[in-house]
Amino acid sequence: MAVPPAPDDRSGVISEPTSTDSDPRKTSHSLRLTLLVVLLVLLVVSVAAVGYLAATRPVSALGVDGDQDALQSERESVMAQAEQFMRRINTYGPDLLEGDTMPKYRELVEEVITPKFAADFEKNAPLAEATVKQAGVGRTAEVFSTGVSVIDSDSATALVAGSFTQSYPSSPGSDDRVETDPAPFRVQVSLLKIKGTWLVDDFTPLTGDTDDTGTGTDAPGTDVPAPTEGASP
Amino acid sequence: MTPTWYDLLGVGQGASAEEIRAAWKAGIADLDPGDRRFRSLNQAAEVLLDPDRRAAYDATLEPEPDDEAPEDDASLVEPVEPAQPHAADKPAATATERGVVPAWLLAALAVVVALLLACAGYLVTQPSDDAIATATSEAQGAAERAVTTILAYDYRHLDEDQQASGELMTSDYQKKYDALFSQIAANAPDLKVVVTVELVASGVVRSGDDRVQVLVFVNRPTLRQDQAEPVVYRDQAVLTMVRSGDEWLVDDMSTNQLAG
Repeated sequence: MAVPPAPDDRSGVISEPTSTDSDPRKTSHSLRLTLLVVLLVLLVVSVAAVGYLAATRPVSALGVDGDQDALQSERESVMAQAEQFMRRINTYGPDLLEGDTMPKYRELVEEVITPKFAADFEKNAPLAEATVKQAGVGRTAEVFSTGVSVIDSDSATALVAGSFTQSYPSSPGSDDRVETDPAPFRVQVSLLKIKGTWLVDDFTPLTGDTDDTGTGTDAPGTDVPAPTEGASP
Repeated sequence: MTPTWYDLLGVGQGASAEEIRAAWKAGIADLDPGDRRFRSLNQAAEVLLDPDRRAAYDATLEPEPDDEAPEDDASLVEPVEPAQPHAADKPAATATERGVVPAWLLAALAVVVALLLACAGYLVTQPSDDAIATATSEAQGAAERAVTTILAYDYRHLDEDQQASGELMTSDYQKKYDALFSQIAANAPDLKVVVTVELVASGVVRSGDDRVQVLVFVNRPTLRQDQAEPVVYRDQAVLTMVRSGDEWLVDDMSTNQLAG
């Protein structure tokens, strides 16, 4: 049973607070409620902040790849395919010859080019095959560096620098071969992404001269060490 | 239970005025006038020794057995136990208890929020996709400008050329460049060599926020005293660009001379 307190609380000794606002328990409850609201607001804000930041920032440490990571991955695919193209188109010799043609050489090149470019390549491949059959010419290529000057979701332009080295029999019918000095090349390679795979659609030697307009497949197949000729079969 | 004025004086509710006065005197006998208990006992006596005020006070009290033992003196200075709630108050009190936010919930929320804020803080320090794209573009432009300065020189003002180039590169790379340039400087005046650089094309090898690799193709028309026409060297170079404040500096450059 409750007993009313002494009526005068001036002493501060025995009187209970009469206001509900000064009830320590209620004050504590209000404080907790306020804290809860503040924490919930902070929770919502921080979740939104983390979501936004994670969506706009690549954090490889957390396994979160951003758009730029994806773009760099595509860039590397483009560079790899452009390099592969320049290696394959400049690698052939008597060991690939079957009759008058080099079917394996054509197959390897056509694996990395578009059907449209393959049609052009088929027209020029006989030039290389003729030099192999008639003069025993062989060619190997080295790529120094690659880069990407333009890229979007389905097309890209790569730069490739390297050199190729030709060889030929020291005398007709001889197994001894003589190598020429490496012939450098600088080319701009156009690629298209077809069914998820980057394929070479064209390439252009970059001499820096004003006539850098012809395509590699139109260039004659000689061993003059200019990029235009060097990049063609 | 909240003590009353009677409890303070140690008398029952039926105590006479004399008993109250005696209890008051006994209570304050050993107290200093500045003692809070002194004031409380005085207040109790004032109320209970005034018949009208005592009657009014008694009306606020529940009947209580006279033989209930008074609290000891400690109750005068120590905080008193709060009164037990009335039966009618219980439902409200229970409801209040139910509405109390548990401490563990607050603690758990605080931990989650702290982790999320830490995560957000870390993410803020990471470059955004837009920042990487912008940085890569800036670095590519800086590489194009730098290579045309670094690879060019004129035998008539080699020192100026070297100084201009040095401003475009990091101190680490400048050491390598200076070593190479000293060889050039030893021969260029005799041959009266003038090298200019023309940018042909550039491409990105690796993008980044503070480190970018750029491939550049350049032509270097090179004129010497013993040649009537300049010889054009066609070079490719891979420049590693690093951010230094608002600038992009060349931190490395590898080049292969391709063809003359």
